[in-house]
Amino acid sequence: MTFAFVDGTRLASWKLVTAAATLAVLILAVASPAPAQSTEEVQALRKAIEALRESQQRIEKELGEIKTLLRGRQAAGPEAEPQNVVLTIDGDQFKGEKGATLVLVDFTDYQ
Amino acid sequence: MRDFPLESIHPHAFKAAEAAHCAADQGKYWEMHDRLFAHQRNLTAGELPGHATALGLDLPKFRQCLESGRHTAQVRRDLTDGETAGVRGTPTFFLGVMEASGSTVKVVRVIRGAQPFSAFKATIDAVLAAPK
Repeated sequence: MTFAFVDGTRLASWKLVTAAATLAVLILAVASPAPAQSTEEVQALRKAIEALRESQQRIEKELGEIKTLLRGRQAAGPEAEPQNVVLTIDGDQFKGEKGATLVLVDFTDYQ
Repeated sequence: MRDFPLESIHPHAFKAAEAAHCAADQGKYWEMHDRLFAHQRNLTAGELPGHATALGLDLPKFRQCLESGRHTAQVRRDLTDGETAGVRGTPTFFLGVMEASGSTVKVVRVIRGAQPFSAFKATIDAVLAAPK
Protein backbone atom coordinates (compact mmCIF):
# COMPACT_ATOMS: atom_id res chain seq x y z
CA MET A 1 0.00 0.00 0.00
CA THR A 2 2.84 2.34 0.90
CA PHE A 3 4.52 1.59 -2.39
CA ALA A 4 1.28 2.31 -4.19
CA PHE A 5 1.25 5.77 -2.68
CA VAL A 6 4.89 6.38 -3.51
CA ASP A 7 4.30 5.24 -7.07
CA GLY A 8 1.17 7.35 -7.22
CA THR A 9 3.13 10.44 -6.20
CA ARG A 10 5.79 9.74 -8.80
CA LEU A 11 3.18 9.18 -11.46
CA ALA A 12 1.36 12.37 -10.59
CA SER A 13 4.66 14.32 -10.55
CA TRP A 14 5.60 12.90 -13.94
CA LYS A 15 2.18 13.78 -15.36
CA LEU A 16 2.57 17.30 -13.99
CA VAL A 17 6.00 17.74 -15.58
CA THR A 18 4.77 16.36 -18.89
CA ALA A 19 1.71 18.59 -18.88
CA ALA A 20 3.79 21.67 -18.00
CA ALA A 21 6.29 20.92 -20.76
CA THR A 22 3.55 20.42 -23.34
CA LEU A 23 1.87 23.63 -22.21
CA ALA A 24 5.14 25.55 -22.57
CA VAL A 25 5.65 24.21 -26.09
CA LEU A 26 2.13 25.18 -27.10
CA ILE A 27 2.45 28.68 -25.61
CA LEU A 28 5.69 29.15 -27.54
CA ALA A 29 4.00 27.88 -30.66
CA VAL A 30 1.16 30.42 -30.29
CA ALA A 31 3.43 33.26 -29.27
CA SER A 32 5.90 32.70 -32.12
CA PRO A 33 5.33 34.77 -35.20
CA ALA A 34 4.27 31.83 -37.29
CA PRO A 35 3.95 33.09 -40.80
CA ALA A 36 0.99 31.12 -42.04
CA GLN A 37 -1.24 30.19 -39.12
CA SER A 38 -4.91 30.32 -39.84
CA THR A 39 -7.45 31.56 -37.32
CA GLU A 40 -8.77 28.02 -36.97
CA GLU A 41 -5.33 26.74 -36.06
CA VAL A 42 -4.86 29.44 -33.43
CA GLN A 43 -8.25 28.67 -31.92
CA ALA A 44 -7.49 24.97 -31.86
CA LEU A 45 -4.22 25.65 -30.09
CA ARG A 46 -5.94 27.87 -27.54
CA LYS A 47 -8.46 25.12 -26.85
CA ALA A 48 -5.64 22.65 -26.44
CA ILE A 49 -3.90 25.00 -24.00
CA GLU A 50 -7.11 25.41 -22.01
CA ALA A 51 -7.56 21.63 -21.83
CA LEU A 52 -3.99 21.24 -20.65
CA ARG A 53 -4.49 23.89 -17.98
CA GLU A 54 -7.51 22.02 -16.68
CA SER A 55 -5.59 18.76 -16.75
CA GLN A 56 -2.71 20.39 -14.88
CA GLN A 57 -5.09 21.69 -12.22
CA ARG A 58 -6.59 18.23 -11.80
CA ILE A 59 -3.14 16.68 -11.39
CA GLU A 60 -2.15 19.35 -8.86
CA LYS A 61 -5.32 18.60 -6.91
CA GLU A 62 -4.59 14.85 -6.97
CA LEU A 63 -1.00 15.49 -5.91
CA GLY A 64 -2.25 17.57 -3.00
CA GLU A 65 -4.58 14.78 -1.93
CA ILE A 66 -1.77 12.21 -2.10
CA LYS A 67 0.49 14.47 -0.03
CA THR A 68 -2.24 14.85 2.58
CA LEU A 69 -2.66 11.08 2.72
CA LEU A 70 1.07 10.53 3.10
CA ARG A 71 1.33 13.14 5.86
CA GLY A 72 -1.51 11.37 7.67
CA ARG A 73 0.30 8.04 7.43
CA GLN A 74 3.57 9.54 8.70
CA ALA A 75 1.78 11.17 11.61
CA ALA A 76 0.24 7.83 12.54
CA GLY A 77 3.76 6.42 12.95
CA PRO A 78 4.74 2.77 12.75
CA GLU A 79 2.24 0.05 13.50
CA ALA A 80 1.21 0.05 17.13
CA GLU A 81 2.70 -2.73 19.18
CA PRO A 82 0.31 -5.51 20.12
CA GLN A 83 -1.52 -4.96 23.35
CA ASN A 84 -2.31 -7.88 25.64
CA VAL A 85 -1.83 -10.55 22.99
CA VAL A 86 -1.03 -13.89 24.58
CA LEU A 87 -0.55 -16.97 22.41
CA THR A 88 -0.75 -20.53 23.60
CA ILE A 89 2.08 -22.60 22.19
CA ASP A 90 1.33 -25.81 23.99
CA GLY A 91 1.59 -28.72 21.59
CA ASP A 92 2.81 -26.59 18.67
CA GLN A 93 5.65 -27.77 16.47
CA PHE A 94 8.80 -25.78 17.20
CA LYS A 95 12.53 -25.53 16.65
CA GLY A 96 15.04 -24.41 19.25
CA GLU A 97 15.21 -24.68 22.99
CA LYS A 98 12.01 -25.57 24.80
CA GLY A 99 12.74 -23.17 27.66
CA ALA A 100 13.85 -20.21 25.52
CA THR A 101 13.06 -16.73 26.87
CA LEU A 102 12.04 -15.30 23.50
CA VAL A 103 9.68 -17.11 21.15
CA LEU A 104 8.90 -16.35 17.52
CA VAL A 105 5.47 -17.67 16.56
CA ASP A 106 4.97 -17.95 12.81
CA PHE A 107 1.48 -18.02 11.27
CA THR A 108 1.98 -19.58 7.89
CA ASP A 109 0.19 -20.73 4.74
CA TYR A 110 1.58 -23.39 2.43
CA GLN A 111 -0.03 -22.34 -0.83
CA MET B 1 4.56 -22.84 14.16
CA ARG B 2 0.91 -22.05 13.63
CA ASP B 3 -1.25 -22.49 10.55
CA PHE B 4 -3.12 -19.70 8.85
CA PRO B 5 -4.38 -21.11 5.54
CA LEU B 6 -6.00 -18.33 3.53
CA GLU B 7 -8.85 -20.49 2.27
CA SER B 8 -10.53 -17.85 0.12
CA ILE B 9 -7.50 -17.49 -2.17
CA HIS B 10 -5.62 -20.73 -1.45
CA PRO B 11 -8.12 -23.58 -1.71
CA HIS B 12 -5.57 -26.34 -1.01
CA ALA B 13 -3.78 -24.65 1.89
CA PHE B 14 -6.03 -25.97 4.65
CA LYS B 15 -5.64 -29.62 3.69
CA ALA B 16 -1.91 -29.06 3.20
CA ALA B 17 -1.69 -27.80 6.77
CA GLU B 18 -3.50 -30.92 7.92
CA ALA B 19 -1.07 -33.02 5.89
CA ALA B 20 1.86 -31.51 7.80
CA HIS B 21 0.23 -32.53 11.07
CA CYS B 22 -0.47 -36.02 9.74
CA ALA B 23 3.23 -36.25 8.90
CA ALA B 24 3.99 -35.07 12.44
CA ASP B 25 2.07 -38.10 13.71
CA GLN B 26 4.77 -40.15 12.03
CA GLY B 27 7.60 -37.94 13.26
CA LYS B 28 8.14 -36.00 10.03
CA TYR B 29 6.48 -32.63 10.51
CA TRP B 30 9.41 -30.47 9.42
CA GLU B 31 10.22 -32.71 6.49
CA MET B 32 6.64 -32.35 5.24
CA HIS B 33 6.60 -28.64 6.08
CA ASP B 34 9.67 -28.05 3.92
CA ARG B 35 8.39 -30.29 1.14
CA LEU B 36 5.01 -28.56 0.95
CA PHE B 37 6.69 -25.18 0.66
CA ALA B 38 8.94 -26.54 -2.06
CA HIS B 39 5.93 -27.85 -4.02
CA GLN B 40 3.38 -25.09 -3.59
CA ARG B 41 1.86 -25.83 -7.00
CA ASN B 42 1.24 -29.46 -6.12
CA LEU B 43 -0.94 -29.36 -3.06
CA THR B 44 -4.23 -30.82 -4.27
CA ALA B 45 -5.86 -33.58 -2.22
CA GLY B 46 -4.76 -36.02 -4.90
CA GLU B 47 -1.14 -34.90 -4.73
CA LEU B 48 -0.67 -34.89 -0.95
CA PRO B 49 -0.24 -38.69 -0.65
CA GLY B 50 2.60 -38.44 -3.17
CA HIS B 51 4.48 -36.16 -0.78
CA ALA B 52 3.89 -38.66 2.03
CA THR B 53 5.31 -41.44 -0.12
CA ALA B 54 8.32 -39.32 -1.05
CA LEU B 55 9.07 -38.85 2.65
CA GLY B 56 8.75 -42.55 3.35
CA LEU B 57 5.62 -42.23 5.48
CA ASP B 58 3.22 -45.08 6.06
CA LEU B 59 0.76 -44.21 3.30
CA PRO B 60 -2.38 -45.97 4.61
CA LYS B 61 -1.92 -44.29 7.99
CA PHE B 62 -1.32 -40.93 6.34
CA ARG B 63 -4.41 -41.30 4.13
CA GLN B 64 -6.53 -42.35 7.10
CA CYS B 65 -5.33 -39.34 9.07
CA LEU B 66 -6.03 -36.93 6.23
CA GLU B 67 -9.41 -38.38 5.25
CA SER B 68 -10.69 -38.61 8.81
CA GLY B 69 -9.86 -34.94 9.44
CA ARG B 70 -7.95 -35.81 12.59
CA HIS B 71 -6.21 -32.42 12.63
CA THR B 72 -8.94 -30.26 11.13
CA ALA B 73 -9.91 -28.77 14.48
CA GLN B 74 -6.28 -27.99 15.27
CA VAL B 75 -5.79 -26.02 12.05
CA ARG B 76 -9.15 -24.29 12.60
CA ARG B 77 -8.05 -23.32 16.11
CA ASP B 78 -4.83 -21.82 14.71
CA LEU B 79 -6.88 -19.77 12.25
CA THR B 80 -9.16 -18.47 15.00
CA ASP B 81 -6.22 -17.66 17.29
CA GLY B 82 -4.48 -15.86 14.43
CA GLU B 83 -7.52 -13.78 13.61
CA THR B 84 -7.93 -12.87 17.27
CA ALA B 85 -4.27 -11.88 17.50
CA GLY B 86 -4.54 -9.66 14.42
CA VAL B 87 -3.10 -11.81 11.64
CA ARG B 88 -4.20 -10.36 8.30
CA GLY B 89 -1.86 -12.15 5.93
CA THR B 90 0.99 -14.62 5.86
CA PRO B 91 3.58 -14.95 7.01
CA THR B 92 2.99 -13.09 10.24
CA PHE B 93 5.47 -13.48 13.08
CA PHE B 94 4.77 -12.69 16.71
CA LEU B 95 7.79 -12.17 18.89
CA GLY B 96 7.01 -12.76 22.50
CA VAL B 97 8.35 -13.57 25.90
CA MET B 98 7.72 -17.02 27.33
CA GLU B 99 5.53 -16.81 30.39
CA ALA B 100 6.22 -18.74 33.57
CA SER B 101 3.76 -21.46 32.65
CA GLY B 102 5.96 -22.44 29.72
CA SER B 103 2.93 -22.84 27.51
CA THR B 104 1.99 -19.25 26.73
CA VAL B 105 3.83 -16.35 25.12
CA LYS B 106 3.23 -12.67 25.82
CA VAL B 107 3.61 -10.95 22.46
CA VAL B 108 5.75 -7.83 22.35
CA ARG B 109 6.37 -7.28 18.63
CA VAL B 110 4.82 -8.22 15.29
CA ILE B 111 6.74 -8.75 12.06
CA ARG B 112 4.49 -8.87 9.02
CA GLY B 113 5.44 -10.33 5.66
CA ALA B 114 8.53 -12.06 4.37
CA GLN B 115 11.15 -9.75 5.82
CA PRO B 116 14.94 -10.05 5.47
CA PHE B 117 17.05 -11.50 8.28
CA SER B 118 18.12 -7.98 9.27
CA ALA B 119 14.52 -7.08 10.14
CA PHE B 120 14.23 -10.04 12.49
CA LYS B 121 17.62 -9.32 14.03
CA ALA B 122 16.78 -5.67 14.63
CA THR B 123 13.45 -6.56 16.25
CA ILE B 124 14.93 -9.27 18.47
CA ASP B 125 17.90 -7.08 19.47
CA ALA B 126 15.54 -4.25 20.40
CA VAL B 127 13.50 -6.55 22.64
CA LEU B 128 16.63 -7.98 24.28
CA ALA B 129 17.99 -4.47 24.89
CA ALA B 130 14.74 -3.14 26.35
CA PRO B 131 14.71 -2.68 30.12
CA LYS B 132 13.17 -5.65 31.88
